[in-house]
Amino acid sequence: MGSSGASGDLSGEMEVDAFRRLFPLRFYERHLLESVRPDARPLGRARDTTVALGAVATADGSAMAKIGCTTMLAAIKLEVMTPPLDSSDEGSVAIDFHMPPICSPIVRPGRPAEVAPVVSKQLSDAIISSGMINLKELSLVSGKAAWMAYLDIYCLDADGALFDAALLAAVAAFSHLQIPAVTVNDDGRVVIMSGENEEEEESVMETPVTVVLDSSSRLVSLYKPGGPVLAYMSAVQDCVALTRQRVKELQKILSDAISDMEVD
Amino acid sequence: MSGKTATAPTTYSPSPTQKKRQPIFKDVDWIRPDGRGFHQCRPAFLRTGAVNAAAGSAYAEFGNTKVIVSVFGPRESKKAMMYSDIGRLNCNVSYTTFATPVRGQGSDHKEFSSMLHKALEGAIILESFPKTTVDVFALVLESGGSDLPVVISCASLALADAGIMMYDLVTSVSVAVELCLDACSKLGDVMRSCLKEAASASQE
Repeated sequence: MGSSGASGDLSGEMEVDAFRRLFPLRFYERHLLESVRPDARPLGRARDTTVALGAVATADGSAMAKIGCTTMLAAIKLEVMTPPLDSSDEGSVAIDFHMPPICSPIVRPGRPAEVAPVVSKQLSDAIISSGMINLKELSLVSGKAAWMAYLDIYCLDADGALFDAALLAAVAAFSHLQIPAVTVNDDGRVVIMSGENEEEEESVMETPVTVVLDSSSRLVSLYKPGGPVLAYMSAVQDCVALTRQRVKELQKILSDAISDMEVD
Repeated sequence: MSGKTATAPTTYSPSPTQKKRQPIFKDVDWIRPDGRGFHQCRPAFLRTGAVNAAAGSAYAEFGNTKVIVSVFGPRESKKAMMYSDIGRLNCNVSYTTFATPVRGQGSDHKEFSSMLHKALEGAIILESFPKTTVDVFALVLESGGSDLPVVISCASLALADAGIMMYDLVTSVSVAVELCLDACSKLGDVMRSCLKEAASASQE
């Protein structure tokens, strides 16, 4: 009690910002006692989320998603490939998540962020295993040509909730994707004819848990990477319930964005 | 990736190949493909404070060329081992894979980082941050031509947003002949008014 008493005495004298930097755990604990976050959000509520489709004009499908300050830009470019023998009537999707140096002070040009390949793998697993994309729709000429969809997601501003924002941007980009009409020319080539949690909180947390649900609220993936905290059933069920609520919010945001696009 | 293929398959883009380039500069009244006259610049959009995580940042859109620049610092750098009584500037320019019409062409511009460095180092008062480093990182979201000048102007604005002391703003324009000085001074005025707007908005 002695040491916490000492920090308690100091807290009366120093400014909020200094206290936040020096004693981050106690700062968040004081807020949790009131069931509120530092920016006055209640614990169950997510930050302002926006989705904009068609952010990149040169891509076949694109979207920009923002959760609070975290900004993700996703774009899909379609190229033609020869499908491998064992899946000759299916196309393919290549998912890449990038964290360029602009997004965060911890990323340097020679030293990529540790979290980038983790989020990249989580994303590919979630997208491919959810069956969201029918690979057979990406086939052009069975055995000879199929679409390879290169999905690139760039983080433009990293402020926590990276996986959430990236997944939202990826799903929105796929919903915006329009496969161009193509024909095969004489050489056999295909040608186009004359379409929450904020960063600071996450560094203090010991064990993040990520839950992915599809639009009918079935569980797609549950990710809990080790950590000193054991997951009791009740805690996992609370996470799933929160996710279910968030799915409804996100569906509304996505369908609003899509219907805005159609009006134009 | 699904792990079905051991190596990535080669792919090609189905877009029609570019037609042979017409000779330009036939006469002074020549109209460009996007409807601009010989002397006209593209419409420009500049905004500071694009990236929350950075000390200073700016977003620039000149026609179809879209660039974000973040400035971090002055901060400690592991690379600089020796004491130095002037600061260091570190620049990096990178492209997104979808910036160019053909995927992956942006890696042809590796020299842009050092050209950005040469453009900015003369204007920054390096003595104001000894021992430390200022990092300037640029990401080209869409390449619509004249990329390096847009990156330089945007970087200059981002440095101002970060509060790094400079002798003056650096503007850059790519032009055919003698119009450089006029165009640069016009762009400088636009950038100054953007900064004034940002400063007065933050005071309210």
